[in-house]
This record gives sequence, C-alpha cells and structure tokens, in this order.
Amino acid sequence: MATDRSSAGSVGLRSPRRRRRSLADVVDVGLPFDPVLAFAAVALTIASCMAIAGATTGNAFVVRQVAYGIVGIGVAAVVSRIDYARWQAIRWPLYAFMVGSIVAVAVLGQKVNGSTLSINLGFFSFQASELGKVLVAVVAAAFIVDRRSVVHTWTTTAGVLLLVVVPAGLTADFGSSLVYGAIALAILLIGGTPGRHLATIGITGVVVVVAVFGVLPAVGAPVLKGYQLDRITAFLSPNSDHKVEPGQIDARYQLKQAKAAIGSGQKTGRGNNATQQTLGYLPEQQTDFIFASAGERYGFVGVAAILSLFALIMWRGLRILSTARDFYGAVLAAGILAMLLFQVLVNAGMNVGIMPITGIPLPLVSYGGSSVLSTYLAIGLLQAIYAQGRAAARRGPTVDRTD
Amino acid sequence: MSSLDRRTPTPQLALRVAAFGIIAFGVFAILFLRLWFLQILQGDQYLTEAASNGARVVRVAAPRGNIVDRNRKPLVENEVATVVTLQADAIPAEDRSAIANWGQEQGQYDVSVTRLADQLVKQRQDADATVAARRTSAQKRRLTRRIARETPTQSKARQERESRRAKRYADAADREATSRLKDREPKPLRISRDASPILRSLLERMSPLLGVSSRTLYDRVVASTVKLPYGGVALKSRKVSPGLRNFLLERQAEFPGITVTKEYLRRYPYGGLASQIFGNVGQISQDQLKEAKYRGLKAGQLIGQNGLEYEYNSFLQGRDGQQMVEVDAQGRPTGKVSEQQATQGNRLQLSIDLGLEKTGQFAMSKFIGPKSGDAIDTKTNYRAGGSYVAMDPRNGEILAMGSYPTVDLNTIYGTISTKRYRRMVGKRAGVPLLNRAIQGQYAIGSTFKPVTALAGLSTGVITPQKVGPGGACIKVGRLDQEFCNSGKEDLGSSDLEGALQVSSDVYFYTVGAALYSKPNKPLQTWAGLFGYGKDTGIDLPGEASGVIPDSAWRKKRNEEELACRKQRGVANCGTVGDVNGGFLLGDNINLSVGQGDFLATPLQVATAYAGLYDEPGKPTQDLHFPTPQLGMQIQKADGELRQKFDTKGRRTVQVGDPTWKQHILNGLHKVTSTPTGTAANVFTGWDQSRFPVYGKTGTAQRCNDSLCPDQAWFAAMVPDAERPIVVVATVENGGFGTTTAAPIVCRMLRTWYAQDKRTAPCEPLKSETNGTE
Repeated sequence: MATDRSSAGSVGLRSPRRRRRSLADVVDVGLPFDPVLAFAAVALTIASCMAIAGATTGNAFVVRQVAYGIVGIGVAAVVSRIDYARWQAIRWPLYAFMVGSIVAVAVLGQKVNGSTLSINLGFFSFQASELGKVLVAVVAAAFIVDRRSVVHTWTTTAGVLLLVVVPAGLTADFGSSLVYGAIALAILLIGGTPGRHLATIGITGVVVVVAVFGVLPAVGAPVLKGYQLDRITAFLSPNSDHKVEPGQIDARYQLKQAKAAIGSGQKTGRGNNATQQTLGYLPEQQTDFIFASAGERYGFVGVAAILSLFALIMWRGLRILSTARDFYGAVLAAGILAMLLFQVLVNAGMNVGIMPITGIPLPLVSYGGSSVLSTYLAIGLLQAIYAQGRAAARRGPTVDRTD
Repeated sequence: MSSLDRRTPTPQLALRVAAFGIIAFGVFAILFLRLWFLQILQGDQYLTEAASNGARVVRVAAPRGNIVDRNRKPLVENEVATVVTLQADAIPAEDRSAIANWGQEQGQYDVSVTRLADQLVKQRQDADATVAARRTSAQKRRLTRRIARETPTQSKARQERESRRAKRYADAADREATSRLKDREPKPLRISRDASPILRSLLERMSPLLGVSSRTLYDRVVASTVKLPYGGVALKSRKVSPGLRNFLLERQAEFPGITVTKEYLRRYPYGGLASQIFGNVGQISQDQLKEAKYRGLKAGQLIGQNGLEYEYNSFLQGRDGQQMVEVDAQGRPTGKVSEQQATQGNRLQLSIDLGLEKTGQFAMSKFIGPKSGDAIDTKTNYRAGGSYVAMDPRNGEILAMGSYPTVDLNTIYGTISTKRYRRMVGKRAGVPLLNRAIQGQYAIGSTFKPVTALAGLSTGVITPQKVGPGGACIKVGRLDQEFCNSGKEDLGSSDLEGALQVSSDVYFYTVGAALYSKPNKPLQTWAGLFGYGKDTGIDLPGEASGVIPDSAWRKKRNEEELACRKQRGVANCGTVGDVNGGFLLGDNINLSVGQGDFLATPLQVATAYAGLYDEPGKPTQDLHFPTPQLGMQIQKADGELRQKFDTKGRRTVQVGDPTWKQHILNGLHKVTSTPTGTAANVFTGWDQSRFPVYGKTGTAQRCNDSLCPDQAWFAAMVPDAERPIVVVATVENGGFGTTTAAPIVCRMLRTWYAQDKRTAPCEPLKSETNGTE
C-alpha cells in the first residue's frame, strides 16, 4: 500500500505531498467475510418475502420488501469492507446526526398509531429511531472503550446511560426506547462495568417499572399514553372487560388473534387455507405480526426455521465478538447482538403471547424499509468486525490486539 | 493504543461473553418451547378458534356528495335507508347458475319477440306502401293537392291520426309476437320449484319477518342477480323498523348471509328533471374492481356508473367507515374492536340553472309530452324525443341541458322488477336515459347555414351584397337534379342577410354547388372550424361526435360496407346505397343546408352559435368557441370551497373580413325581429331592443318525400351584457322549426330574462303563410 496513487502526471516534483484519500483506501475489497452469517441474513430476507407474499393481497408489499432487501444487502456489503475503526473516529458527528434526525422526525414527521415515527422522504418513509438503534451502539461502544481506564467509575456508567437516554427519550416510540436500553446494558456488560453497577441499574429498573404501572397512575400522574397502558393491561389480563378508543384496535383482540393464528398453523401450517390475515382478522399482518402470519401459513416448521436463522446469527455474532481485532469491535458486536436478540425476543414473544404488544419489528422479516436497512447495516458492521479480526489474525501476533 | 490494553481476554470478559451467550440461548429456548406448546400441543384448539373466528367487519356506508345547481339548490340528494341485504356469497352456487341460465334464456326470448314485432310492423308498413304504389297518378296528384290545401289544424289532426295508427300497429304487433312465441318463453323462476333448499328455507324464514312473501323475495334475488351476478341483493330497502333491525343483528347465526346496514340511496327532488346528465349509482362490478382508479374499493360499494356520477366520482364518493365487531360463537356482538367513521363525499356544484332547466323541461313536455298525447314518432314507431341546451357563450358553462322523453329517476333506481325497468327505459318508451343533447346525432337543417355562408364568403363564391337566385328550385349537374325550397315555395331572390332571414334553401344550394369544385373542401373545413364532427369536450362520458361527410368519409363507409358483406357473407349489409359511389355534387348541396349524411348533436349546435357571440359594444371579426362545462365547483358538505374547475379558454377562429360576421348576425337578428323572418311570429312582443335575439330556425328532413314529420330546430343567441346565453332546442318529430322548437327556446329566454308572459307569449304560428323553413 506504499505506492503514491496521487502522483500521476506529476513526475519531477520532488516536494513531499499529502497523500490524497481515495475510496479504495476506505473500502478494501479483498477482506474475508463470514459466509454463515451472510447466509442467515439472506435466508431471513427470503423468508420475509415469502411470509409477506402470504400475508398480503397483491404484490405491492413483496416487491418493495425485495427492493429493500437488495438495497440492504448492498449496504451490508459496502459497510463490511470498511474498517469499523473509522466509525469509532467519527462517533460524535454520528451522534449529532442521530439525535438531529430523531428530533427532525418528531417535529416534521407523520403520525401513525399515536406516535410520530417516520418522516416522508417522498420515495421512502424514513424512521430515524430504527437507524438510531445501530448508531447508538456505535457511539456508546466507542465511549466506553475511550474510558477503559476509568470504566469502574460511576461517571463512565452514567455517561453510557446518558448517551442512550437522550435519543430514547426523544423518540416517541416506546418500543425503540426499550431496544436502546437493551443495547446499553449489553455494552456495559461486555465493556467491563463493575457488577454492582449492573445490579444497581437492574434494581432501579424494577422500581421504575413498578412506579410507572402501579404507583404513579394510582396517584394520578400517568406516564404512559392510553394505548400503551391498554396494551400492557391487555397483556396482563387478556379476559377482562375493556373499552376501545376510536381509531385504535383493541390490544386484547390483537393478542388473541395472533395466538389463534400461530396455534392454528400446527406442525406444517395451513398453507393457502390460512385465513386469519387475509380476512383481516390479524392486524398489521405484514409488520408487527408477520411472525404470527408466517406461523399460520407455514406452521411450526416455518417459524422454527426463522428462529433457527436468528440463533445462527447469534452464534456467529458471539464468535465474531470473541475473535474481534480490538476491544471496540467486541463491545460494538455485543451492542448489535443485544439489539437483534431483544427485538427477536419482544416481537416473537408478543406474537406468541408472552410479551406485551409493542411496535418492535422482527429484524429483517417484518415489512419496512427503515428496519430492513438498519438491520443490514448492523449485519455489515458484524461482518466488518469479522473481517478485521481475521485480517489481524493473518498478520500475526505482532499486531496490537486490544481486547 | 494505551498501555492498559489487554493482550488476551481476561477471565472476566470471557465470563461476561458466556453470560451473554446463556441469555441468548435462554431467549431462543423460551421461544421454541412456547411455539411447541402453541402449535403442537394446543394446535387443534387454536385451529377451531381460528375457523370460527369471532370478529365481523361491518362496512359503514358513507353518503355520496350532493349535486346542486348554480344557485346551490339541490338536484341530487341522499336518503337514508335501512337495508336488509342478502350477501352475494350466501347465495348457493346452484341458485346462481340456475338464475344465470334463466336470465340468458329470457334475454334471448325478449330479443326474438322484439325482432318479430318489428318485422310485423314492417309488414304492415310495406302493405301500406303497396297500396300507395297502386294509386294511379291522378289519385296521387289529388292526394298531394289535398295535403297542400290542408290548414295547420287539419295537418296536425292528420299527423296525429297517423301517429295513433302507428301506435296501434306497434301494440298489435307486440301482442301478435308475444302470442306466437308463447311456447318459447322460459317459465318464470318459482321459489317452490327452482330455488335450492338452503335458499328456500332462508327466504321462507325471512318472509314473515320482512312482511314480504317468499315468492317476492325470490323474485328480488332473481332480478338483482340477473342484473349484477356478484352483488348483494337488497331484500328490503324501505320501511325496515328498528325492532326488525335489532332482531336480525342479534341472530346473525340463524340467518347466514343476511346483513342489515344503513345505506344512502340517491334521491332526486325533481324526479325526471335533467335525469340524463346525472347518471346512476351502482355496485362496483368485478371488472371495475381491477381498475386503477377504483383501487381501495371493495365489492358491494357504490360508485357512479355513468353521467356526472361517473365523471366526478372521485369527488362525490365518500369514504366508507368500518366497524370491527367481536362476536361470540352464536354470532352475538360482544364488543367493538375498532371503528372508523364514514365521511360524506364532496358536493358538486353545476352551472345548471334550475329555473331554466324546469322551463325547458316543461316546454318539451308541452310539445311532445303527455300534454300532446305522448306522440309516437312515425319514423321509428317509438315515443318521440327532443332535446334542449342552454349555454353561457362567454365560458361554455351549461345553463340547462335536457333530453326528452324523460323518466323519474326515483322510480327506476328504486326496487322495481326487471320487466318494469325494461319497459320504462326501453326503446318504445323513447330511451329516456339517452342524453340526446350529447348523444343524439341528427341532421340539423337550416341551423347549419351560417357555416355555409362563411365558407362561401371566405372562398369568394358570394359576397354579402350579392343577390342569389330566386325561384322555388334549382337544377344542377348533367342530370338536371332538382333541389327545391321546402314546400317548393318561391322565396324570391335576396342577398345573404335576406337569405338567412327567410331561410332560402335555393340561395345556399347555389353556394354549396359552387363550393363543391373549390380546393380543400371549404364547406367541410368550415364545419370542422365551427366544432362539428368532433367532441365538444364537455365533462360527461359518452359524447357523440357527429359526422361531416366528405369523399374520404364516403370511401371509408364503402370499405366498411364491403368488409361487412365479406364478414357476414351476405350480398348487402345496407349501410350505403352504392358501394362504388363517391361524394358527389348533390351530397355537397345537401350538406350546405345541414342535410344528407351530416350529423351533429344539439350541444355542437349550441357551441357553434356560441362562437358568434361578441360582448355588446365590442364587436370582433373572429369567432370564439367555448368548451362546454357542467361542473363548476367542488365544495365540502357545508359549502366551503374545495376545488374550482376553471372553464377552458375559448378557441378562436380567424375570419378574413371584419364585416362578414356582422352580416351573418344581422341576418340572424332579422329572423326573429322582422315580420318576414322565419321565427318572427314566435317572438312577437319580445323586447328586441333590450334583448336582441339572433336566431335561426331549422327543419330537417328525416324521410324521403315527407313520409314522416320533419325534425324541428331552433338556435338562438342573445348577447346580453350581463347574462348572455345561447339556447338550442330540437324536437325529433316537431315539423317546422318555428312551430315547436322556437317556442321552446323563446320560453327559456323568457325565463332567463324574467320577461312577462303577456308581452312575450312565445306561441307558435297559427297560419302557415310564412313559416316554411
């Protein structure tokens, strides 16, 4: 890499000159990649297209999901060829961009189901909170790695939490806020925060949950919006009496229908006899409840395959984490994995009736451009960590391994 | 890298990664177990739950927007009705196919009866013709003299006699055809014999509830399914009590496929007034569901199917709401899952003026409607028709548009039997739903003459001052073919203005003959410039464009005739007289007085006369043709403006000489204002100084040798400063333009300018002395 690429046509000039940066310096095509991880991601996109095709009439949704998948794979391919240390270097501009975009959406965006989540860019409805999930992992991991020497202090822990709380508070989507929290916890865990800090955070979390659901509404200071409360009470007491606000769908009904859809799929699915979604019984059948829809159509075999592909990603992710080139790579991988794991847990859990309803999509499977692209960005980052780790291992032990 | 870098993973980090892994494993284990539990262990239970799914989506119909006139008086409104519907998918397949077969047989039978009846009528007419042909020449002469001597009363009485006789022929032929084909008539479907047990039991259980016999219910199912195979059947749409409604809603399981919904039916406060322009509203068809512009609509929803309801459907259509109701195993509603409110469609304001429209309609009915005995047109043997159009010449806003005969829309869009519907809107009833103003293509007679005049002037064939030939007839060509004035009357020789004033055919025949040999077919070109032969561009579907005959057109017709002969394998399709014939001198002469193969719609005539309009005091030499337009504004239900439809700019046609248009206008003014003008007596007493009427009568021959009454035309333009107007009226069997059409136009003008009936009686002429053409 010592050749001076910028000297073409300047023979005779002796003076040392600054090397001009070119795209080839940033993107290294020769790096290795993890084929298993790539397979799992692409297979999930294919599964997603099949599920959406079954869940919707007409092909408008499928065509767009295929397009999102293709663009996403492109994004992942490019990102995986870039050394992730570059993201570490520009963490503060990234953070500013993320917060700015979330604020922009909150101010200019369009209202869906009581929350302002997306901003219409004409060709595409952009959800800043989805992209924010990946960016917050990049920034928070960089922050904790910066402060490795003082990781045991409360300042570091509080700093990480603050970094996450700002975008989580700004975004109007409660589900996304929870994902941000999960990312922060994983980064703290792998970043080396002392055990007592983690324990304190855990206890505080429990106290807050009790206060929000039990104490504060009782003393007349509700924190949650009507529909959020409704969803949680629906989850806690699915058979109680209820009333529905106009314009909203009854949460108990959604839960019941999702369970009925998945359950009726049995071993191998109902195939084209699957009616829950096409007859409109199952709401949001191509986004939040795509898992239930796939469960009805393809049965246990189908959804188990989807879950297995996610398990495959987790396994490869943990391997990538432990073979990372440096400490930053390991912590970033942990943040990304926590993001994926938490979303799978909450979305699939809500579909099978063990989690309350939140607007969290199933990564790569739910219909939606922002979610698909952000998840592929995350997959690309994992591939980049893998590639740099492998490259470092090839170069041998002389390279500074920083974990 | 700082000195605190760890070269190898510390045991603590390895531990934490392991913890992370265990959490991940736990998550997947929980999800897999839960799936196993749901799908494998409890799958059967959920399958039954899904199969008997406890929710029902109820569509809440949205009312369509109203249609109002230019003063916001309602023309089309909504009326709320509780409708008990049998859903389409609840009709068993065997019933559906039985009904479809029966409908097809019945259709074939109806066609064969009509055909046989027409044949029988034709036989009678042929017999009459043979009798007429057997008359000796002396008898013929005597007959012609007798007819010529007739007073108008006698002539009218004779025509009425003929009309009555034609009606008798038609009725007798109908009876004869029905009795001859009796054995071929398919037996009407009976519930006891043809309905499937499922449908029969459902209808028999519904019958006492609705207070309608099961036979009638079954007839409604048949009528509706024949008309719209995959639409729901309205079993009862009037007088459904709230008690019955609740009873049915609570017992959904006992009455599968029966829904009770609130629907909005169209109501027409003025019944048959302008009924042709609104069009009807009907359930969306299978084909329409696939069209892009109806995306998002579901089967069973109502859309505009033609007329204005079709043209402005996207504005008039409301947004249906929907309610999702959770029901238990017995189908009883247990809770509302979600609700979306229905929103009414927007209001459409038309440029129509209700008062003017009423006047036109009333005048039409006076001359050809019930007030004159629902005359039968002896040419077609069906009910006679007519049409009127009024337009603002400045911008093309349609002030009135109507077609006669008309039919009360409240009746035919209600629940009536197929048979009655066919009888009310069929050919014998004069096709009352045909909008003759834009779809009726007629020869327009002398109202065409301004075109001939301008074509003649621009080619130099005539000058305004040149005096044309006099006499009753002219002879042209090598065969000395004779073309005569109407009634072979000698109107004397006159200049252009005089020729328009007395409507001298001979004058314009000469012009047409001279133009035949000119290059670039000037007569046809000028007809095209006046807007004939092409759509006017009005905001209504199905406009007819008329015909301007020339040699290319004639050639095309000949080729079509040959192709038809070849395709059908017959010697003659009868569309043209001579397949080798071209467009001859005689054809051009006929065209010069708007006869022959020339066809135009009343709206085209109105647009052509609107082109002559100039603002008072600012005469121009050019013609300005507006584009007619009905829709003015889209408003919210409370009248707030949503969208304004600007009228299109006027099309300008340059005329070579500044005086030409003025001479034509002078001639047209003389028609109504000088004693010898063809429409002078109708406009006796009219205030010509305040509201000068520029008019032209027309009398179009429809049969050779006057075997049937001529078609009456009158076109008038009043260039008032504030309220200019162009009015055109035509009556298919009206005879002379000045006897029926001109009085209709005069009455409409009287309404428009609020004139007194005493000063402007608008009565047709009593004597026949000067009303020849």
